[in-house]
Amino acid sequence: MNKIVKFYHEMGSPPSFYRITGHWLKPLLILALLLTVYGLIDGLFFAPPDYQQGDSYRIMFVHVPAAWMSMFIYFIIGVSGIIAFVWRMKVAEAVMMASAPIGALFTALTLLTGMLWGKPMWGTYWDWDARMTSELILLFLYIGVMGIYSAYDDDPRKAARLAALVAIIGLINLPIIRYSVEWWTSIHQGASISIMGGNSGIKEWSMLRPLLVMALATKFYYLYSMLHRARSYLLRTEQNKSWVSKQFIEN
Amino acid sequence: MLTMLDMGKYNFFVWGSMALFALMMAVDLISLHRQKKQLKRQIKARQRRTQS
Amino acid sequence: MTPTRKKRLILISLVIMGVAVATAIFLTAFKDNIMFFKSPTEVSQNDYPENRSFRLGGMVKEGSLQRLENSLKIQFTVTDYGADVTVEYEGILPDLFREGQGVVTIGQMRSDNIFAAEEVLAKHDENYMPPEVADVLQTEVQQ
Repeated sequence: MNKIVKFYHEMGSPPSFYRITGHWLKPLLILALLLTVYGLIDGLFFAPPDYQQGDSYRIMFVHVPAAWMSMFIYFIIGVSGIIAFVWRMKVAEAVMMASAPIGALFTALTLLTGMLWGKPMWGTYWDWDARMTSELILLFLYIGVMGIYSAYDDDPRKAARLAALVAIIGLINLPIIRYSVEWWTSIHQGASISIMGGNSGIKEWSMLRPLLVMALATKFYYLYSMLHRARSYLLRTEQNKSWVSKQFIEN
Repeated sequence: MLTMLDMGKYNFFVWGSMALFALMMAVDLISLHRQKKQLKRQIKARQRRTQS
Repeated sequence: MTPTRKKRLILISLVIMGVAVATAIFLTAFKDNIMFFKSPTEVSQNDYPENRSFRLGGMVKEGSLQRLENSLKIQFTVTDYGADVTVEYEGILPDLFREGQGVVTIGQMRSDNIFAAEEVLAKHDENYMPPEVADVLQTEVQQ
């Protein structure tokens, strides 16, 4: 228990956060790349074609993990936004702002691959239905968080607080995206994997495996990208502190 | 091998999605390394100024 | 105005504009897609907007797809197992358009009670499986 508490306090202080996460970057990137290569080869060549959609369903192996990440990362932004807003923790500010670019990228990827999947299957690139519209609004939220921050970037603490406020308000969009296909009639199908068991979703292991591998790969890549940016964020905002200058004397 | 790469009439859509995925990851990877490099240069320049 | 202030003002107004555009998109999308989404039962009870295009969603009835003679038009029946509506359409059908599958059509009701579709979208479910598994399931259902 003591170790966990100690770890928690260490991660809350910028110098130890910088030092500890520095060791994680390389392993995270290697894991992400290996899993991506394995997952995509498995999904593109070894998973069987779908009985209705043929080979086109393989878009799922990037579309679905990207969509999960777009929501997962926003959730992280929201939670660290609350921590940053209430407890004024610098590391939480760093995590929040470091998550935004990669989250926005995953959201854009979700929308674009969804369009490429929708055209051959549904018959249209885009339909203004609840799922697609709420995902587009998620992209606007990411851009909004980054936009507010850069409007005040001469005062990082204030900028982070305002960005956190936007992020927290935007959290309301997450349940809307998740349940949009159930609450409203939508062209979009339901969830590909039902955690509670149930009768719908993918049952075939050879189709499920690449999906889960890609879900892991994108998680690792997110961690890599986020920690990398968070470390830069701390260096930038703490430039005047002695721990930053020490970093550069040692190197 | 080449027949395995063929997604029939969905070639454009499937490979287009894969290309987009690769492109987005590459953009992120390159941009975060460029940012870091720039920042390090900036901080070093600042340190030299304050030391002299 | 200082450059920082100017930049700040521009960025904040951009964010506000973004939020406004997002809300506007959300509201119009909802009005079009949720309020004007009708089932065949609703259409048969004359509960649909006239002289305005709306969405008709349901299943394509088995054995109802036919090509009209001397034209490129096709006709099929959309059903929700309570009521049927005949739909006429000219154009390319999506790959997943199949009898017995879900479909969303966008168009207007004609005076002869035929729905003239401008757009036909196929709906699919989340049950992905290889063809062999689907075949086994199919024979199980038939037995």
